[in-house]
Amino acid sequence: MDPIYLQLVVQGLAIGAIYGLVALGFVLIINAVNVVNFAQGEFLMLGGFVGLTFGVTLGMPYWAVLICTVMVFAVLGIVFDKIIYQPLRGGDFATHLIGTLAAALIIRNVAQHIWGPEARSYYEPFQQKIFEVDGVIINPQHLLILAMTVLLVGTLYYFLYRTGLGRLMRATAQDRDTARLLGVKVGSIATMAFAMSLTIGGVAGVVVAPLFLVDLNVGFMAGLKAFIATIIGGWGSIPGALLGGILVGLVEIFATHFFTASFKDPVAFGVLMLFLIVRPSGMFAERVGDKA
Amino acid sequence: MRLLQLVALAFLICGLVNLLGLSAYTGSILIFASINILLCLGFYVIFGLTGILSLAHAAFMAIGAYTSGILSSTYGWPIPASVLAGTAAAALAGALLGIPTLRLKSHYLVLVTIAFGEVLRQMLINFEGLTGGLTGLAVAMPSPVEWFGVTINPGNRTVYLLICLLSIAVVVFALDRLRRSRVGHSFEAVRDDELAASVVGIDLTYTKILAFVISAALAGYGGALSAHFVGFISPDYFTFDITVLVLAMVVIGGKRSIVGVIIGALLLTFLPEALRSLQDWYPTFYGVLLLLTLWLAPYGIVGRLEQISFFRKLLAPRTAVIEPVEAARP
Repeated sequence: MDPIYLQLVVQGLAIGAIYGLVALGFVLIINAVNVVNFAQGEFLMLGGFVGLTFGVTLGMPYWAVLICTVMVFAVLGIVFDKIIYQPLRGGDFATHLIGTLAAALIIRNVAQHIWGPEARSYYEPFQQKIFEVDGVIINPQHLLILAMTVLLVGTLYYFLYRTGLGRLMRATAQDRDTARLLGVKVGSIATMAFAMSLTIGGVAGVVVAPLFLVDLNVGFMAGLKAFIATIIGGWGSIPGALLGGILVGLVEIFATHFFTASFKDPVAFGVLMLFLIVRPSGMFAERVGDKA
Repeated sequence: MRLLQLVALAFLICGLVNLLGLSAYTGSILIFASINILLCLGFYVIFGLTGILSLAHAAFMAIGAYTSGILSSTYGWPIPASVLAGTAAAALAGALLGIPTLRLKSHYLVLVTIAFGEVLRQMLINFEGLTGGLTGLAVAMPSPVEWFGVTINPGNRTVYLLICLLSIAVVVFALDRLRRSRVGHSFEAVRDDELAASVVGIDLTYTKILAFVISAALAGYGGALSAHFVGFISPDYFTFDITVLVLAMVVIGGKRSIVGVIIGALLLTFLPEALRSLQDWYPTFYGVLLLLTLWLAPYGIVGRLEQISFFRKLLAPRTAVIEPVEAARP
């Protein structure tokens, strides 16, 4: 096989993993409170800027940047839950959609005031040490993204399916009222879900930042692609979100290679339409029925 | 409301504007406010009346604006004809988007409509030969016409404003009739309970596509009107942010009422002008206003006003107010 294809696959996997991580943020919220958080993409953007502040302005080492980002976003998640989700709890789909869209507007605007409107470049922890294996050029940042994704997804999967707290979360998702009757504190479960979801988004923003410029407008498109990943993966499925993200990433990279970069978004949306027509329940449909 | 009253109102407003000798700036703001009202009325039909959250409004505007702009500038069509063609093109696009989204609900529908808007925007950028790509397209401005010996110059702001206001008068009249007609009731039935609506014999396919078509046509008309007023269009004017702005106007004013969406459009057009110093904070301002509306007044400003008996009589003098079914909440 031509090494160029292998290289494209590595790139596609890395981009796809980022979409997958953002999609995981969607899935967590969907599972806990059955709400689509349209501000999810903005946390990717925000993560990039927060990482920039810690890593470049304050000069922290990479591991410290990650830890600080996790802490900042956990707090933000709790705030988000308290002022965006909780007041609208019990509202219909459109109410939450409009509420989170409003939150996205505010987040982008505030970020613009803090960090300015220009796109910024981020330092690379690997200082451009690109290496070559059998003619395949590999950027270590791509590998870091993949490793980070595997780590986060593994932790999340373990948490949701192997711990008591995770079971409470899934129970709340399936039937909120019954879970409450059985003594689950559904309010705290929601808060926890938002904290975790934002943290994943923020960390994804930090690890992806060296690949692109840190830009105010990155959130909308990334959020949209991740949303596609969520749907083609299967609504609310963790492995589905990840695989869906990787599929979107691969499709995009190959579309860019075979056509031009301007065709990558239409092709990605084409895949979505195909899935919606052929298999609307996605790759990993967990439950049948109209959950929304 | 009667058509004649509305038309008289349009002439009255225009006459007042002319009498007061308002500046060119104020005239422009009034025209933009009128165009925003048309856009919001379109969004009202699909979201407020039929309950379908379709976020492709900016795309329909772009279709109307580009069709009219290209036909008038490149092919030399007279502007009234090109505006009509733009409206028709947007309506057709609305039908085409409506068909595949018939079976999709909530988040699936939202995603497909957003994706439609983004793909269309990138097509506008890519097909440079026709659309001028990223640099945009200069659009012909309206030229004077002579009807029965009277010269009318739509390039004049007051005349353009009158055209916009008369359009609003016709649309408001038509929508008010529609709302109280059989079709309007079937829209509301689909919104409140789709299954029940289909059980009583409402044709869901026809109803939903009709809602899409009306909504898209109004968006396309508004887009075309703004294109010929500004004289220039580019893909940057038709981003998702525009759709969100229209959504904000409709939600803040009151998504279930024609008067409500007009109030919302006026409010969010004039308030930023009054608060020039806050310019950099507009998105935050809209966002906070939206959140406050969702918290305090789910049916917008008009929804709150209707709870005061004086305003209730004023706002809905001849129709019985049917309260939406609250018990259906999960």
